[in-house]
Amino acid sequence: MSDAVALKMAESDPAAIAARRKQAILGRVSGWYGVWFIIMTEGSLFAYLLFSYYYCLAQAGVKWPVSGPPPLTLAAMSTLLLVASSAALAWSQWSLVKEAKPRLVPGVGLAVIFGSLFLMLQALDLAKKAPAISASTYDSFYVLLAGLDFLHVAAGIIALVALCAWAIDGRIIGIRTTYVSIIAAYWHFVVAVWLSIFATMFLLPYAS
Amino acid sequence: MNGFPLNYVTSEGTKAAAILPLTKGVTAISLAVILIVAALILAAIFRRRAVGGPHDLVQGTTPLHWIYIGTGVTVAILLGVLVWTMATVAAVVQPKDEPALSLDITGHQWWWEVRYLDQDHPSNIFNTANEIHIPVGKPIRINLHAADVIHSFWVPALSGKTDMIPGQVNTIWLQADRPGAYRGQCTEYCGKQHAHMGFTVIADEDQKFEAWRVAQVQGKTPQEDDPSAIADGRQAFKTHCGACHTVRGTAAGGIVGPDLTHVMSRSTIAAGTLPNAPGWFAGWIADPQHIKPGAKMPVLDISGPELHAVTTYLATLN
Amino acid sequence: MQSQDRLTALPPLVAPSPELAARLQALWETAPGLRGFFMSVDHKEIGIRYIVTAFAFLILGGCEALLMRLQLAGPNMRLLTPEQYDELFTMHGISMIFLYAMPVLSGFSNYLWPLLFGARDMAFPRVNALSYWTFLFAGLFIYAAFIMGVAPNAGWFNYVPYTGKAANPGINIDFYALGMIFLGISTTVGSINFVVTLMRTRAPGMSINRMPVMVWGTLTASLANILVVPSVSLAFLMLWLDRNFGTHFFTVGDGGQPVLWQHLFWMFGHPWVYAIVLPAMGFVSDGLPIFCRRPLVGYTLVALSTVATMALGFGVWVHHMFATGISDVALSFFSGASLVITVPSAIAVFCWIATIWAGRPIATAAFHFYAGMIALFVIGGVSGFMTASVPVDWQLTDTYFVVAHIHYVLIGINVFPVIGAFYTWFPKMSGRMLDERLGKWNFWLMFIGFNLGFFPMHISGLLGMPRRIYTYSPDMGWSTLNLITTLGSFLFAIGVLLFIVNVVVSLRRGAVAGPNPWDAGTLEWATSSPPPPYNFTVIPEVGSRHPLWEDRLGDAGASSVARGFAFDEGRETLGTSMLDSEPDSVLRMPGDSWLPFLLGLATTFVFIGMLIHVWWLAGMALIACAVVLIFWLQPDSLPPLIPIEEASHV
Repeated sequence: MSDAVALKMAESDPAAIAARRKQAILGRVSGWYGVWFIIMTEGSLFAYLLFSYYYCLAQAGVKWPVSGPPPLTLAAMSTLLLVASSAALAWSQWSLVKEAKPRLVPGVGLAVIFGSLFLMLQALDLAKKAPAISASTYDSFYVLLAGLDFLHVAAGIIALVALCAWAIDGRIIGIRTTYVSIIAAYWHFVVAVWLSIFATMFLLPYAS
Repeated sequence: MNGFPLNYVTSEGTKAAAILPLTKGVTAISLAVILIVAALILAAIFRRRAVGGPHDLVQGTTPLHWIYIGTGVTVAILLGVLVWTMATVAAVVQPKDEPALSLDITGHQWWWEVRYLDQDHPSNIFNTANEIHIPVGKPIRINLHAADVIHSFWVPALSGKTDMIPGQVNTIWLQADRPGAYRGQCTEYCGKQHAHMGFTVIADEDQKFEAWRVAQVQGKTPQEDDPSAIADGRQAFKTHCGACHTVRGTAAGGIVGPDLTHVMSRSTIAAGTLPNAPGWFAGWIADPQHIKPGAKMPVLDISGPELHAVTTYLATLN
Repeated sequence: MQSQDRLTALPPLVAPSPELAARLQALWETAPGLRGFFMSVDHKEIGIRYIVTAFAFLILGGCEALLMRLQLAGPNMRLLTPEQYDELFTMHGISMIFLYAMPVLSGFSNYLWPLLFGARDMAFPRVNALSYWTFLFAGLFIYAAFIMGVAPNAGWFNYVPYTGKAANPGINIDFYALGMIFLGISTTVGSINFVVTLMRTRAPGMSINRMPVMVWGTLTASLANILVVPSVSLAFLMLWLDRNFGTHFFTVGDGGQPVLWQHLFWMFGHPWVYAIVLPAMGFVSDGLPIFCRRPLVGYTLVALSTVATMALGFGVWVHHMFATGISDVALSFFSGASLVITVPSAIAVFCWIATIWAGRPIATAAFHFYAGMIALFVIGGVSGFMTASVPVDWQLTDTYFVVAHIHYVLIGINVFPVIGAFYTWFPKMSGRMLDERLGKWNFWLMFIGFNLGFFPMHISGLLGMPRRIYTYSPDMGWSTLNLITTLGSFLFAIGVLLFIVNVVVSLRRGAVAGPNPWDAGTLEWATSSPPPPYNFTVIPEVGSRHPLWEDRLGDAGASSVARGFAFDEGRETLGTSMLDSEPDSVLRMPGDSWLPFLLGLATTFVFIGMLIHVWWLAGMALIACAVVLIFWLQPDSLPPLIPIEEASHV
């Protein structure tokens, strides 16, 4: 009996929900442990980058950006889109644990759609800002923060698309539902990173 | 320790003297620790013990209390040194009296620009290079700048190091307790000629210092009765050297290299690299890249007679 | 068996049999020839490659040092031009600190961890291969600059603005910047692999207080790397952008801050120094008991002091910046932290001495290296303690005193234990003993040469000799000391050469080792030398720190080594819980694979494209990376993990 057939059978078993629940809690796959350390190291990267920004801001002794706070509308829309994608993915994860019939594909699919819209808005913004990368230290930081975030979101979307395709293909079953936890952990992390960038670059300049 | 101009196991200045006991203290502690641990290792290896077969293992509990005692002693010593450290920092951070003189010193690749400030008499402000004269027994304030890359200002006999960082001014003080010439050196790696970036601090009695200062303020305006050799030399200097070097009072007004208005009053040239003597000076002008490869001073397209004229002229700049 | 209840869910313990061994051999053997060379994911193969590659960089870095020592043997020498000298001291630092010191420890850890754990491989065997290939390619990337005559020339610390485009227009620094980001990938994925391996693959019963101390060392080093490598990668990325796109992160005048570079570099750099000594201190903690014929004195103290050193190590970076004009409050804090960090090191030293004292030392070559290391560690430690005192540091910093300090630390606490580890574990790796008589010559030449060469540097430092100068004047009074240093460094080099001779000769003619030539107590000595591809025919169960010494330490029968779990239905090893190491699943492991090599190669082209501004190349290579990763991560590339209660092995 091949692994795939065995897993299919396990999925149709009435005990499948209980097994999925247990998997989601235990996360025994080594990759599930690995992703937390990827998040730790990537989180450190952004922490050092924000530290650098605040360090230069403090040393500069003026408010950044000097031309006044940046417009909020587009960035706020982006933020809402990204939070929505995170919520859609969380719904999909929840259904894996709680529902008899998991809504994997719709949840991940929605997350991909929202995330891609965010990415498009970011691409437009970057295309406008990138040429000014050498205008000032503020501009350099803006482009680097937004650019690195863009790359991370893009990587996350590739992972989500792959997950969606595998799910449609019926390959995310049984023990392999931990794939959802692994990729979702990374995606929620990427969203959190964007929120910290949004707070630093868009909200903080409005604070007096 | 005359044979070791950059040593810091002796001191000639108030600040260095305040640090020296701590340096000697921690050195003594360190040597004692090395000797004690070495003795313990040797004793542990060679102490007499019951013989055992190659297959036997040593059993039984171990006297961990010796480790706790050792750790306790270590902590006590460290706390003592920490307190001593804080006290020393507090003692040297500010001078006791208001500084008698303020200088701006700027690190360049690979020389030192020295500017004597005078808030009340702007006409007394002047530039020199690589040789810093100070009055003895008085605290001097020094603002440290950097023109290109990071350098570090260090006169071990008088004071520890402070970095010179572009875009930032670090202000320090120092005070010489005895008249003398104290060697200084750049100690932050700054490129090809980091090795040849020295300077000298000369501490003089008040009167002598004042005479030096008054002389330095003067320019070198050309005189009607200058011999033609000197006038020719001045012309050659302007042509070949004036784009980078200044001789106050003349048409030579470059600011890339050291101010040479009173170059003959200095004991060394090329930032402490060569003695200031006619032969060395001519050699330096003829081929600076041989003596300081990579230095910003180019090999000049200068003929023998012109070189002679320039050195003749330079010899008058005292 | 002390806890029979727990084991009811487990498959039965079986004795090894030739049939089982043959089955495992067929499952785990790497493909022969060149194919196997590129595809191998065997941790032992990768570990040895790491060690050999790191040693090659050590020899290169050593030759660079010898050239510098010739230049400094007398005053005003003209053997090297200033530019050549600058490139040599920079490459020397990069080679030793980044391409030798960490990778050689990763090599030993890679080789030894699964053996110490009674496991069949690391948690992520393919990531392991990837981390080796990226290390190798990053090292070659940086050395390509050296071969092309445009080596980095601003020191391993690479301070801006000297490394900015204005002061340093060549491509030299771009090689270094991109090479370091590249190498950071290797270090990061390798570190994650170590941590997860520790969390998942220890033998059942090997709770965290039964792990060998070197495991603690590599664990803390790996956690530190995960947290601090991003700092230096970011710094180098920002520098590369400054140099190539005109950004203003570090440039003065538009809000950029040169001192920010120093913060980012040392927030990484200081923990890194601990990361390249803590695993080596672990070699001493695990090696000394073998040759002192007793367990380590104060295991818990040493393990905790390892963790404490690392934790404090995050808070001392500013002691590299005491002369930058920072505030008095910061000076006091970082001075205090830098003094306190000596306490855990002192505890380790006391425990080692107590182990010798309370043991019955056997003067093998390995023991010589471990005992010698303690002495050198103390000298490097107290000179570090001296620089921790701020006012003293204002005089000491950037003189040869600090050069002496860093070499006592890195050679004393890394090279000496590493050579000691060679004498200890070479028989395990090769099946043959290193020559003991040559070994003692090797030790004494290295020990005397090292102290002759490097101790006088303390004195040249006290006499004011600055670091990183390519020559000095005879008037400074440093000539004799420098000549002695040069002689000592050559003596030291001869000692290292003798070691290499010993390895080469012993590989062919050394005495056959057998599984446990030292009569040591830990699991790696329970399998044959060299171990088979599957490490252990049966996976042992562990009940103490020294499973092979239990009969003689009054703890007989706590572990089960002779009988264990078979796990032979595929490439499998046992998954256990993090703290208590209770079995919870059967982990399925990957076989030979092209993917790690291909991903490493694709990454190399990303960096080559960035270096020479051929963006289509970098973009294509990046897409290639994504494609390889999707293949790598697709769900059924591996059979699924099996929860232990569902495992059905007999």
